[in-house]
Amino acid sequence: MGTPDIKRLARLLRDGDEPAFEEFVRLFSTPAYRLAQRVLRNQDDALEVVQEALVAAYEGRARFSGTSHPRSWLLSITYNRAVDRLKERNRFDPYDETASDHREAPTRAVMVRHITDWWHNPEQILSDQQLRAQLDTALGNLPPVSQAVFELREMQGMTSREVSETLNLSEAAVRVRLHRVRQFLMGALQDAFDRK
Amino acid sequence: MHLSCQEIFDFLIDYQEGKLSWWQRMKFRLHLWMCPPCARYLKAYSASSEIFRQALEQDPPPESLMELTENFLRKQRRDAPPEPTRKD
Repeated sequence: MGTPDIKRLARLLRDGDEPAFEEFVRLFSTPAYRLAQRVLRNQDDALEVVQEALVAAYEGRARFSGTSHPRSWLLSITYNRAVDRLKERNRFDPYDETASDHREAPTRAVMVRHITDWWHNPEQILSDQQLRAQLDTALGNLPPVSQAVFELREMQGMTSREVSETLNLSEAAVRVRLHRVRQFLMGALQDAFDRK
Repeated sequence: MHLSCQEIFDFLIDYQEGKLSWWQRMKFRLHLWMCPPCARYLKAYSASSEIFRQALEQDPPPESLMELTENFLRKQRRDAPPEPTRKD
């Protein structure tokens, strides 16, 4: 598949073109799955949410304005469905501003005093399954919106603008969230090395 | 006016992403030059981004995602209203 012409795709989607909708689904169902999996941490739930999001996109395609990136549109629907699912299950309140990335974001003074040389040797971290699992657990303890920012910016390489459209945040809020996630993960990694 | 260590900490991502003005950037660099702990923290912060990206990479999506997608598209094609016939 060549590089898709996103502006053309957005225009065709807006006009209700069926082949364009198929192309849209094939291009963006994997990013949607990765986002759902990141937030829900369960393969079956993630697949169900992607299916719901595809149906919702198909039924609501007349409302797509064509001004945003089609990927942002599908991922926004996916994220909202995933959050609804979390709320249904009372896993936690996704809008809780006292959640761990706010409460436990390390202060600069603490981090500078404790930072050791782990970052000189990334191979050591990447080859250590236990460390990777600890990082994954730390990320999973953050609110869904922070996990989503991390997934979309760091893993999927979306721009701050696209992430802001997807998650309905300002671009500045996206940068602040990402900054806090990085700090939080650095703290988790430092704790893991301190315990070793 | 010098930046404090806390300000360096708060503006790290803006510095990395080129969101600071020229003057703020100069003050940022001056602080890093004078403050080895902050310079060290910036290096760790910069390196950690790539480490986290690799360490937290997810498994590839299951094959059932492809099946789900194709089933969904088949259903939409089946349920779509027929194309209007052209009258010449």
